[in-house]
Amino acid sequence: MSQVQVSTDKTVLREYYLLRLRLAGINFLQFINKLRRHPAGMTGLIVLLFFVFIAVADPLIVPHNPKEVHLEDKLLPPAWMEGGKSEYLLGTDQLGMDLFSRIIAGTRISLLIGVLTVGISIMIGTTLGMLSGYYRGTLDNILARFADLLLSFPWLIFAIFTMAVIGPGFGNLVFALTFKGWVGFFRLVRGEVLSEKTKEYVEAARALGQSHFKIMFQEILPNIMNSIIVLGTLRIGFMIIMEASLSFLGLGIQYPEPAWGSMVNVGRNYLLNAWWISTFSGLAILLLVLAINMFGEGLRDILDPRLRRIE
Amino acid sequence: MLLEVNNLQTYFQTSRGSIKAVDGVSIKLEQGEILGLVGESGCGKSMTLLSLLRLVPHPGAIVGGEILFQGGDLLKKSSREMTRMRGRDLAMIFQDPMTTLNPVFKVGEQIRESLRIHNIFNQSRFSERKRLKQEKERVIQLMEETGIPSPMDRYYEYPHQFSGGMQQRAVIAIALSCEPKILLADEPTTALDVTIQAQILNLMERINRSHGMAVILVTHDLGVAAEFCRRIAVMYAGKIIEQGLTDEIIENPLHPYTQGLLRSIPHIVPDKPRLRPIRGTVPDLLNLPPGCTFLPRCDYAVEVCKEPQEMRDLGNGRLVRCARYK
Amino acid sequence: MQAAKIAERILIAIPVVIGIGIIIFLIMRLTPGDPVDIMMGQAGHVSAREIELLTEQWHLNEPLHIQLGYFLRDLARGDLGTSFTKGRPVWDLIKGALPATLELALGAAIFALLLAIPIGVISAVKQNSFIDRASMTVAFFGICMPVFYLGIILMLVFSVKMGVLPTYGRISYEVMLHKVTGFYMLDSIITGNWAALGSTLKHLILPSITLGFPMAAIVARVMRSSMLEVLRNDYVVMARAKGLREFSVIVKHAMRNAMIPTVTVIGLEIGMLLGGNMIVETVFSWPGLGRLVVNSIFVRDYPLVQGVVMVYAFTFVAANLVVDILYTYINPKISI
Repeated sequence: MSQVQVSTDKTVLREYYLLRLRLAGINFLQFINKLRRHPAGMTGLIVLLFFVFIAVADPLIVPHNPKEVHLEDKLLPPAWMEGGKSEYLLGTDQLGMDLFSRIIAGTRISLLIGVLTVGISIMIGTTLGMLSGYYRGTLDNILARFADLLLSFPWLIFAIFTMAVIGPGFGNLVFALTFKGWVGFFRLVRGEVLSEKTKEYVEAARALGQSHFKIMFQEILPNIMNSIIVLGTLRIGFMIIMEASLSFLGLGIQYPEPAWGSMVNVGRNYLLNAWWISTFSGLAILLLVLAINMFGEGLRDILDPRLRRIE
Repeated sequence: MLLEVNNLQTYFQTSRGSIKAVDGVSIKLEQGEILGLVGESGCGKSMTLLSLLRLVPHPGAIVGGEILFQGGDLLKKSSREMTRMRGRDLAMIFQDPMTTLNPVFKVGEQIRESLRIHNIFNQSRFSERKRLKQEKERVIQLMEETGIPSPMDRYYEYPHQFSGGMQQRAVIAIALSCEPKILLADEPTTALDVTIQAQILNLMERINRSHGMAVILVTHDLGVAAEFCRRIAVMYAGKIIEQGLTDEIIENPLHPYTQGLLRSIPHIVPDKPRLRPIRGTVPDLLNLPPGCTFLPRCDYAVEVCKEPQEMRDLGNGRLVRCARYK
Repeated sequence: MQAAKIAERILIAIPVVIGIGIIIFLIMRLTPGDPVDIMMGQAGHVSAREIELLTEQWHLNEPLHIQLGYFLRDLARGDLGTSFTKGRPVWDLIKGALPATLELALGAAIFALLLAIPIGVISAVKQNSFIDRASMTVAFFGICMPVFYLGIILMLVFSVKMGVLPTYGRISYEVMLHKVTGFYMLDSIITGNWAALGSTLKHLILPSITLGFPMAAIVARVMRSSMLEVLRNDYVVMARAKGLREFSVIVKHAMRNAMIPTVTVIGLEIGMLLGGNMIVETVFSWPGLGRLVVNSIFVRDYPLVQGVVMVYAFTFVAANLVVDILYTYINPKISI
């Protein structure tokens, strides 16, 4: 090993990273190709992209302001039913707010919560998991214990409790969900790092005198990125359900903000004469989560076959 | 004749075509005889054994031939009859003892299960307790016979508490429990250490002698077969290509493949010729050459080999599937 | 030997219980906008008497570590404090609501396991058949379906449209039931009150299905995949070669092994069952712990919230303890 010439030549490094970039490009193309042969994953992706489009284009495509009250038009049925008005495609709620517009506006909230909570969870979980698995020692001990403790709280109970204490609202919701959300990524990354650490490429990097930081984030991280992406995608769906559940209980985002969960809750009081409020709001949640999970399981089959259950 | 297999065909239907894992195999087995079925991995020898028990895994199926045993064709039996014969008339032992015993049951209970399934101790005068006692005694006796030390204690242990050799002994005890006529052994020593291999082979030989149980030993190791079997059948790409008494096959191999196999066995004797591996690899079973399947690897190939070769009977039980013999 | 093992597991659970208590304590006292802040700041809807009560109960005028000391002492005594709104010890309220919650959770678990395990097994044995594909599709929906939405849809279909099942409560008003244990099923059987049993069962169906469905979905998927893995093993072929009937091969030899990973997942899913319980009780107005806590959140009855959450968390730990112990029985590689 001592005979290995350590080249610090910048051009060599540049070549190396260019090569990496090209490999990443090839991997991406391969991935797209594989996804095309995975019908469920592909369907999920298309539906998901559709939702993302709605979320982005939201202010341009909503027929009404989602919080605009039309008391004269309250509890109108969907447009195709008797008594429905064509301007309210899916009907209105008890304050005459347009359900269709509210569902469209709610897409943004759901996706934003999902992406934000998972994104922050990944950042915290990956960093801590990496440090914990790489250095072991006291830090690892404390973090792992803490993670175990958080795991012994059932998800919803922890979220409901935290929201009950800190009160409803978007920011609080993100806080409550990431408080426990990072643990999943922490455990994943920590476990992966523990096993990757013993592999030859890490040994080689160490022998070449790479810094710990570079070994962690430039050598190990790219190798475990796939698992993180897969877990992350599936987690987004889960977080969306969490948010909807909290909003349903009145602890997340509150009426009249157009969060799907709280819309289902509002509609609950009108099941007898206005079934559409709960039904369509809930259907939106179900569809989005279905799309995310279909895409996520497709990703898992392609990127991380180890996680794959034999089909 | 105890067992007579005629033109057995077991095919696997896959999306890319049908794989002829067993393609017209015919073998005969006499009372108390040991037959070796030798070939490289993937040549169909294990599938032949599983076909005899009618346990070919999905998507495989026996599509033709007959298996005559005790005057009847096994392939014509109802699945209920067949279930009753398994373990009682034909028993099987497997390659990897580590995965053959069920990890969640006590070893003794797994042996006893065979006795229970086939109602070995089910005379009506026995009460359940008496029956259990008899079965347990028999299990202890079987464990003793197969050389498992302190069977009284070992009865209550789980497979993972056994070593590989001990596990294989337990598997043999299961196979032996109902005194079957035929023991089908699928590479029983391959997963074991060399010293243990010899012990297990010895054990099987002893059982063969004392119980008069016929054995079909499937192995990729011609050396093991030569040591242990009276007759050998060499299999290649789903077909038997040579058959005969062990001594004759070893002394005078006829088929080029058998010759190649013999030359590939390492010898410790110093003045033996250098190892000569057979060139090429086992052919893709989906794209077999139309004629002799060994053709692409054969040193003696001639024009006529491009046509399918029949088995040639050279008398005295010597059979070979090669154009060089008339 | 087995007893020692069990004792060891219980000992391991003790620090977990303490840790959970501390986390609950810290969230209650330290997070921005914690109850103390809210009460001290916006005392509009909280009376001075209540602030006084809380200050006294939680020793709010002492430093934090002293507060924690009191907190743990009370916890060890099983004293969960006194509810503001009901003026009764929290533990009494919990005891009153617990049977309803347990009855629902048991109903859901029984529904889920009775459905999911056979489906997982059949799907694996008949892999890629219609029944496999259909049940795995349903299971996938079950994973993506929010519990509250499922409850509302079921309610809409079976209660509002078809009118065959009740929408709320545990028993009809017309039916009188002498309460002995608080478990209505048990009570109706003890007192021989068949009308009450029928009514209880009817009330239990929708909430149990709602709560049990996500668990059923996951357990069915896990059971299927572990069955598929097990079925590839030699010992399954061996069991057939011994002369076992296919049914026994599957149920005795394969299933016993496939249950090992499944039991782990069931243990984790108990958490979903407990959390979902709060939602289902809200949807179906089920008078259990979940509704108790959700209602007490809105009236800021913090001792009650804290107490119920603690009971939920401890139940989860206890349930996992049971699963752990069960695990040592079904997996011989772990026991002894």
